[in-house]
Amino acid sequence: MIDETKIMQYADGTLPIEEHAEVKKAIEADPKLKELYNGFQETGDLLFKLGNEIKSQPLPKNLQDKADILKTWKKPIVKESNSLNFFGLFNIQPAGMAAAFAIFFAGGIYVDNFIPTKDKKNTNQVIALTQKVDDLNKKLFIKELKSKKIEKNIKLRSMPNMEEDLSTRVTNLYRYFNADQFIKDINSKLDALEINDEFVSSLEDNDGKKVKFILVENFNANGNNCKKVAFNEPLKLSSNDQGTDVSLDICKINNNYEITSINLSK
Amino acid sequence: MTEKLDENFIKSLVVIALGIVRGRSDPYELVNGAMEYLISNKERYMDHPNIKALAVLKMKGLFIDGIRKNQKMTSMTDDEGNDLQIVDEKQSDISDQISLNNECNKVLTTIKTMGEKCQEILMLASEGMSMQEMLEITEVKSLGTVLSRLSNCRKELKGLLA
Repeated sequence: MIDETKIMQYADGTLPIEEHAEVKKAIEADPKLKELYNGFQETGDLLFKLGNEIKSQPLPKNLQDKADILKTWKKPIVKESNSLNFFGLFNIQPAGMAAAFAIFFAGGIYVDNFIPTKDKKNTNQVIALTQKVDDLNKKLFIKELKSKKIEKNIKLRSMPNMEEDLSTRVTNLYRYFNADQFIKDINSKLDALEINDEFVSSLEDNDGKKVKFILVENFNANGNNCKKVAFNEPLKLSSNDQGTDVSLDICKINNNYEITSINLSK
Repeated sequence: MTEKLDENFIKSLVVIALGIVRGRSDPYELVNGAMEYLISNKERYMDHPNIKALAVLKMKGLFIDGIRKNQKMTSMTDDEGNDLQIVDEKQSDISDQISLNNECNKVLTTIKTMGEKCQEILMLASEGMSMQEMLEITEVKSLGTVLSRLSNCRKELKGLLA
């Protein structure tokens, strides 16, 4: 018997990845659980929209004044560059892991949050056949790239400004992109690919069309053979997104490919 | 976790305050009260690891204090230690101050008809809080309780909206 809270977590994308298969199977086998799952998706969307709608309202002057005072309290050290690089921290060397978490916590980035379900009205968003990987989502952090650096504070919460749009795009990407399924689909194909080769996984867009990927580059990272794979067209990841280029760094670790980073263009 | 302190932090508190005041007082006033408290205790709290939870707990305290004063109550629990259901005349409502779209307005109005525990946890979820943060703020005993409460409240919300 599947606990209803697991259905809710699955619908929100917060269920640990190792429990996905069991819950998914149960939902597929039981129409009542499917209905429950749909209901949780619906309320997830509604609550997400409600929160954002309230946050979009201007603050009264007395609170705005207090916000100005609060801003002088702390200066989070998070850096944004032309391109943002979000790493899943699995299988990274301990030193790298420690550094990553240091940046994660210093930056004040919230990623372990309540995640809404997909908004079906948006087009061009990719849909994974299964749910996104919340574990990966939890372990995201922003890496300062070596290229042009722009000092900027980022907060992966709430809505309307540029920072918040980034948050929305990241959230939406993880809502529709199931990294585990993707790797499962392409693990056996990757070695045979050459630069600029196109390929597909089980990932489909809202129209049911297979999403195409392209192998962009082969490279070596920490002694591992890695490949940079890009979505072959920009993704619309939020309502005001003009198109985000998304690429994945995939490295062969212990004879299996794993996604080591997901890169979103500005 | 380090919270970035800016207007978005305060807007998050407004969302949460809506779940605390339950349409019976002004959430902006509650947020303002909590902010004044934090600012006047800057040295004590500026490096607090979870300043949002601190602010939320302060808002809850302020709300209860306000109810106590209005009703001249000395305790918020009954003889067996259970929370009393707070019954108070409706005061100013955020709905009078902000304009939500129809869908959100309907959801908020519906949430305000629900029990206080549901109102609180649904607004925490709406704000985007993790289960762990909800656990800290709702002061329930376990993560399982948070999960089951949120699950039940969302099912109830779905039923009310149908």
